[in-house]
Amino acid sequence: MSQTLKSWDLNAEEDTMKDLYLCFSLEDRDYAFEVRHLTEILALPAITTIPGTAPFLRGVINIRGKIIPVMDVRLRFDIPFKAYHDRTCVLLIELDGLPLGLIVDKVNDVVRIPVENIDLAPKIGESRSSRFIYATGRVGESVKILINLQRLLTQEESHLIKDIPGN
Amino acid sequence: MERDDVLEYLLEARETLENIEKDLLRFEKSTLDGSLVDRELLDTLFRHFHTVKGSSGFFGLTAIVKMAHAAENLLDYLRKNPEAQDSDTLEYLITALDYLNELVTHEETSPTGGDFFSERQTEFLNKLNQKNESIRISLTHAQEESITKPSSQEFGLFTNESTTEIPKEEFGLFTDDPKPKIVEEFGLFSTEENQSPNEEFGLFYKPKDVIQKETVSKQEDNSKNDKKAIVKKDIRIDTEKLDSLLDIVGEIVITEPMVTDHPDITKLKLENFHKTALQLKKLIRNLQDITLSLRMVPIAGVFSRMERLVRDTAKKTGKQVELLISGEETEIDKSIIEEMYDPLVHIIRNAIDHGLETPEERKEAGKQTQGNIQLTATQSGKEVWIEVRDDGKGLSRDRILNKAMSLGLTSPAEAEILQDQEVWEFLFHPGFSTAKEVTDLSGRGVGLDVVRKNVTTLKGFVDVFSVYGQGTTFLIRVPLTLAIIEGLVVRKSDTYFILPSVDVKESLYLSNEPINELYKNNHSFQYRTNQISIVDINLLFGKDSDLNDQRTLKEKYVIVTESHEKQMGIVFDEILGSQSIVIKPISPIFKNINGLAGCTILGNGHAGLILDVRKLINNHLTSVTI
Repeated sequence: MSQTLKSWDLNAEEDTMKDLYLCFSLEDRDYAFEVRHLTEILALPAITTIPGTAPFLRGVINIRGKIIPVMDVRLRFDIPFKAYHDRTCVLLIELDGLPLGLIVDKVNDVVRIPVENIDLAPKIGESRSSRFIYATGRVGESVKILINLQRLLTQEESHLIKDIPGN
Repeated sequence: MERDDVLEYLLEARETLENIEKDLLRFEKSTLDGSLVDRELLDTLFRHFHTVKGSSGFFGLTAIVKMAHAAENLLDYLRKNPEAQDSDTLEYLITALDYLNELVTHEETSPTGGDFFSERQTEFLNKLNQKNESIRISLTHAQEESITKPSSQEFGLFTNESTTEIPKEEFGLFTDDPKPKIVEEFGLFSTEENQSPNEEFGLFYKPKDVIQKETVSKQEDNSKNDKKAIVKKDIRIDTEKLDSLLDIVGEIVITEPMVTDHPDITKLKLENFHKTALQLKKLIRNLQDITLSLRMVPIAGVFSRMERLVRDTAKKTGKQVELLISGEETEIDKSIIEEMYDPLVHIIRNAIDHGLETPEERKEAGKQTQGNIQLTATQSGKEVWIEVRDDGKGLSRDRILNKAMSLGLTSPAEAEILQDQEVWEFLFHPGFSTAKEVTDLSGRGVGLDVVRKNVTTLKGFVDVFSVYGQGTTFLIRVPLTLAIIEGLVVRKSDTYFILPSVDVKESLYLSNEPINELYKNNHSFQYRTNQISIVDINLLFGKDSDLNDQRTLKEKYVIVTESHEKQMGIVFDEILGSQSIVIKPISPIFKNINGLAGCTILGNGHAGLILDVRKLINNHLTSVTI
């Protein structure tokens, strides 16, 4: 019984979540990712910096007893660092069971972008930050940049992290 | 049949098989001097095999049933003819046990129809059945001669019952019918091909109704006792549940000071509140202790598995070895115990293969022909010490040094002045093996370096001591538990760090002590009589040291840490005190972090980073020399 209920729920969720994207801004650009990855939106708590890691990995935060790493998306996209303020947000997401907090300037809203309004991003070279972008989505007059969350954490980054003596 | 039920049963079966192994080894030991095996031991073994057979039949695991049945028959024969036991029959039983283990494992990982899955197994079963067959014939002869002796008629589960009133009694699991054909054919699943027509299917062979009644009541008594014993023993808990319990208790431990010392109430005068808060504190401490102890199991399980290893290794090498176990009741965290198995196997194998001499060599050296290996566990504070001591020939300094020089680890001049202890350290170097040739037992590339690595991941240490000609001792020290450590909480700018208390030698407050800069990023200061390296956290994690800009440690704290007798001072801004820390893993997102052992949540709600001091010292001191 509970089993069937669960799968029914899942379907319903999938349906309502379909085509929904969470929009946030960095500088003056609008980005978006699929809402189903999002678990929570938080005000920025105290960050414990972890020495010796890539600069875009800001450290860890304590969310109700769980220790969760946070990434500054600006730095990840090679946008200069901006001091955090009271509107800085953490978007808590889960990728392949791995929780992660994304620090962004501002969270906007959740929009519906149907598939027909999504255009795969044109390949403009292999610039470092274009790797995270897979498509653009048209919403009325504006265009949202759709990001590939998995790419944020891919293996290739590990060697970008500064080599530590003894490693 | 639900898969879960089968799995649960297999776990039980495994336990029984472990007991069988223990008893078989006892069997071997007690008969070494040529004496007959204890009747009680035979009965126990028989019962174990029978249990495995019966329950496996219930789950339709026919292969296990057949194997156990054959072993049971052999044991049954031994009970009647104890003089017939020899190393051959024992070997049969041990091999049967191995196959049963194999079958159980197979059933756990890749369940099939419950039948044999390899040629070797069926082959062995046939051999075992043949053996039974052949001895059965000799039994028939023997029985014909001795049939008049009533004493040989009395056997079975309940030998000491006063059942002799009915001399011809045939009851229970084990009929003592003089016709051995029928003896062979009982049980849940008869493996015989030509089944005799009067075969009774079922657990109990019952020639007489009256006796059957008696049997049943006795059987019940017996099972009642068994049940009691099981209840006393333990219950199985899903480790996931246990982990989440530990997590929650960890949270409570952390939250308690957050509530009772909450800034909102610290200024208020609340005498009664403080009283109850104190009570709560005490209760939480108890709760924490009990939950932690839930994960603690005696080390006996791993130790007893070594018996078999010693037996097999001794056989292969042709050496006589006695394993002396003590302190097996010492309790240690279950996850640590599991990790101890491989290192122990390696060390004990080494001890037999390289350490102990052959009986002839021992005689020449004026020792007993039988070598001793002492396996000891003791609790020492928050650590468990596991010692493997052999009385073999000991380590050869020259051979180790020669090997070390050939590997370029040391030079002849250096080798002269090395302490013995430093020489033994070479053994832990990757690729270091003093074995002259690769044998079946060792020299397969898995060296002591792997042992040390395994133990180090458990935050433990391995050391070796040896006196030439007298023996070698390996000492493994591991923490009692991995989940919680005692740590010193310190602060450096806005980040909190925890230094495990075992690594901290001393903390100092230095106001105007001069520090010496040898060159950039390399500083030292006077600690007691030595100049030791002094660093800050930035430097340890690959950035430039803050100490470059200051000549003195103005109002800073230096924690002197020690690992492997190497010392290093680390500078912090503030010391917050020592407390119990619940270790949480660091997200795998942080790759390449060398020097952090984990995270924790501190009383103030901040996440704190647990430093892996041993690694930091090693990394730092190899990149910098004073």
